[in-house]
Amino acid sequence: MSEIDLAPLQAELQKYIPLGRSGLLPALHAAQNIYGWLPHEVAAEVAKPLRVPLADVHGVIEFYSLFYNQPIGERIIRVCTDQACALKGADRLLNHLCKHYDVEAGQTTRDLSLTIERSPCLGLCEQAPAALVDDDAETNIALDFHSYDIGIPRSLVYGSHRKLTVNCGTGTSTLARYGEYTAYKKALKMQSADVIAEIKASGLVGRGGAAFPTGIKWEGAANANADQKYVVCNADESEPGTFKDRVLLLDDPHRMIEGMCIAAYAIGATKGYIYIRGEYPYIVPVLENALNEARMDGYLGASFDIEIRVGAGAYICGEETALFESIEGRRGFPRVKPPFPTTNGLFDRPTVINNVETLCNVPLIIKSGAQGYRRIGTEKSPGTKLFCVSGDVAKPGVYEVPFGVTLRQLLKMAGGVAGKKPLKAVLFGGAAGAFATSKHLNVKLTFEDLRAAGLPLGSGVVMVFNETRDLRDVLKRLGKFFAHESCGKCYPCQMGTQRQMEVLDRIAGGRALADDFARLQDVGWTMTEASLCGLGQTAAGAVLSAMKLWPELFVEGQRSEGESKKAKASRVSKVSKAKKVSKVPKLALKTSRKTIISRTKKK
Amino acid sequence: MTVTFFMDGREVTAEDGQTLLDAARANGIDIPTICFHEATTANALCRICVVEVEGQRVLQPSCIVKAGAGMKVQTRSEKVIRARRTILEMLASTMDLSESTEIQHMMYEYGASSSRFPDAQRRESAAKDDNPMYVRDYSKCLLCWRCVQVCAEDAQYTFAINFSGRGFETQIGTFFDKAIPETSCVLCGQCVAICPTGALKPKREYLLEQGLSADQIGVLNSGRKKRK
Repeated sequence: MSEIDLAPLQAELQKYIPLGRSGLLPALHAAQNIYGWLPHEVAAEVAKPLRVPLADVHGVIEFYSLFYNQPIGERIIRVCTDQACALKGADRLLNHLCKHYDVEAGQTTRDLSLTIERSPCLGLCEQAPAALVDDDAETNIALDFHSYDIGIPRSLVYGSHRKLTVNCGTGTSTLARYGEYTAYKKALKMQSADVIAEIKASGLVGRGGAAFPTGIKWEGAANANADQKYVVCNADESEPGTFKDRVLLLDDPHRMIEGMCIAAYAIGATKGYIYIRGEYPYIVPVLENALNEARMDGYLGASFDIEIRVGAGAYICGEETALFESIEGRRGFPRVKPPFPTTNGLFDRPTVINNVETLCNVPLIIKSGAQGYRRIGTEKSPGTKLFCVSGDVAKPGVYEVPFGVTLRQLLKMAGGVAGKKPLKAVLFGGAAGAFATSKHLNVKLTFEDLRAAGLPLGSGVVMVFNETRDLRDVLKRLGKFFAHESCGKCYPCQMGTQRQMEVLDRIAGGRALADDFARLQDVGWTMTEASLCGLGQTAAGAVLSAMKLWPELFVEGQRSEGESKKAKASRVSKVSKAKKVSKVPKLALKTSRKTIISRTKKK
Repeated sequence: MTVTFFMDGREVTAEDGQTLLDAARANGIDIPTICFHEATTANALCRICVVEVEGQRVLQPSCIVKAGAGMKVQTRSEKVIRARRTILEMLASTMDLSESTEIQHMMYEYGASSSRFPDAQRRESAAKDDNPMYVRDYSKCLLCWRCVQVCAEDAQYTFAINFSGRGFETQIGTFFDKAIPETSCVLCGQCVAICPTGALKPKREYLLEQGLSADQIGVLNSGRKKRK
């Protein structure tokens, strides 16, 4: 590969040099756009002007699933095989695809024309099964491929109180359609402290999963002394089953941008970032266009401006401090807290980081006042909430409802369980959530009621499973997801997600060992209690909740330890036999290395 | 300024800003550590030093949490022991601890079984013998990060090593897995000195273990001198 022409890269890199190390992810994206992947000559060329040590560049490339240090196909199909898509036959789809193109999942065709990969949740759950074909979303794929939608995904938006989603469901809203930033204009006439007081009085809490009071967060950053402050929009929506932010960003980007402007004014920030997950490439031009419109009309550019940063395939970067690390050009390792972002956030400066949906609430609150905003919802959970309803329901989609409707009412709106089959379970809050059953149908969907019922609201995931579904398969996929997405920093999560996956694999395959229940309990408990960040602390949540609800799932088909050893012994002998037999094909493989390139990156 | 707080029911004092770990050690209370080292930035990643602090939702890493007035800390509660034991059992199922005597001792102390996780995937790789000074056997690496830290801002500012992979499959690595002589490594030896498990080992020690005699190793060395 010594004949790589580095000139186009060098030209492209000029843009990123002023950013220094923080330009690393954008520069790697740009380089990969030019060369298709990242050969070491290219990585070294990126490192030089940004002044990043070579080993660190390697560390970053290795961390993010969407960066490739080996050649991949000209086109790439990423098939989602997480829960919602799996229910609609994603595995069959993937197998079918692989057979058709004569290539294994995770590999590239001989002529380097196509790579097929399994992907973690793509945020297209309501139109499952789905895939990402290069930069296009491919949804509602018929298993025989005779029909599918491709391009920018449709937005299926319903609900009784369309406040945040009033412009959603009918294509992207331009600034002309969104109208003036009246809330921002109103805020600018208020004292910044009064803006914060209004947000506090509204009772708004974060919609990304942690439910932290937004006003208190803003106040912390406003009170911190610093030469520079930041507002960051967390658009790294990656929680399996979550797709509400995709809809808000695609259909009504100005609402979120106006929310950021108000936050910036309230805390005294001059610079903002939107960090959007790499699996939403089709949203990036929409955001760029919206930012330009806002600049043209003078909302951005003078006292406050916003830059877009695109992730590269790492669920952990939705964790706020990991997201900062990623913007700073590092592996997405979460930081220890305290200190908190409000004092030591992005670039160690006071930072407000809010979820997309949270920010979309802000203009509403300022426009109607805290009291007006509180007219909807409950005393402790004011406002509306977007729920991502997917799985076995008749009408999957984003549902905007006031806090306080019951799970039964929400499911009724969604047309009930598809095919009128009885309900078996609802996964609440995503992979990091917990299971509910028909016993929970009357639980009101509010922070307080859900907490009392032991269910997390999380990011608003309501994934429905009918009676015929094999929950062990669902759990196996949860285990796989977390093992794939653990950053590897702290021991409980790094090893716990792996061990959890192995046990769940055994259970799904009817090979449970006698002590697997206790093992799973110990691993899950240790991750929950001792992990460094929210990923590890919730990686066992759904599993532990399932163990409480359906303990029988975890012991059926159990083998004694002795049997397991026998089984292992027979497996070992099979493996060694296979090794002997495979000697010849292995050589054959070696000669054809040039044509068959299998990615060594983890699946 | 000092603060007074409670550790295992005992009233103890600590300097303002002192960590729970330092305070414990100053008061003769043993808290085990793996990734922590006085010379490197504490990252609180091994979580072996976790303790129970009253009023906190989850266990707290004592290597970074500062002592506060009136704090009530349990360094060996049932919860703490369960977490430490499980982490140790997972370590034993993952890597080669044969040269980590401190961790073997911890396993004994906490009743951790090395066979708790049958059929578990281990992190195994062949030893990398690619330079004249040290050998890297990452089967023995427990990812304490200390070598990466001393190679970077904690000591040497050489930046020769970082990470490969992610999650369970993380490993210490060089730029595109190049051999050490092709990297910015200056063979300072800080990483070897700070490695707690024998994953990084001086070449001479490694050769002696391989069964070579001191004389044979000397010949290897003199041979190189002659060529010069």
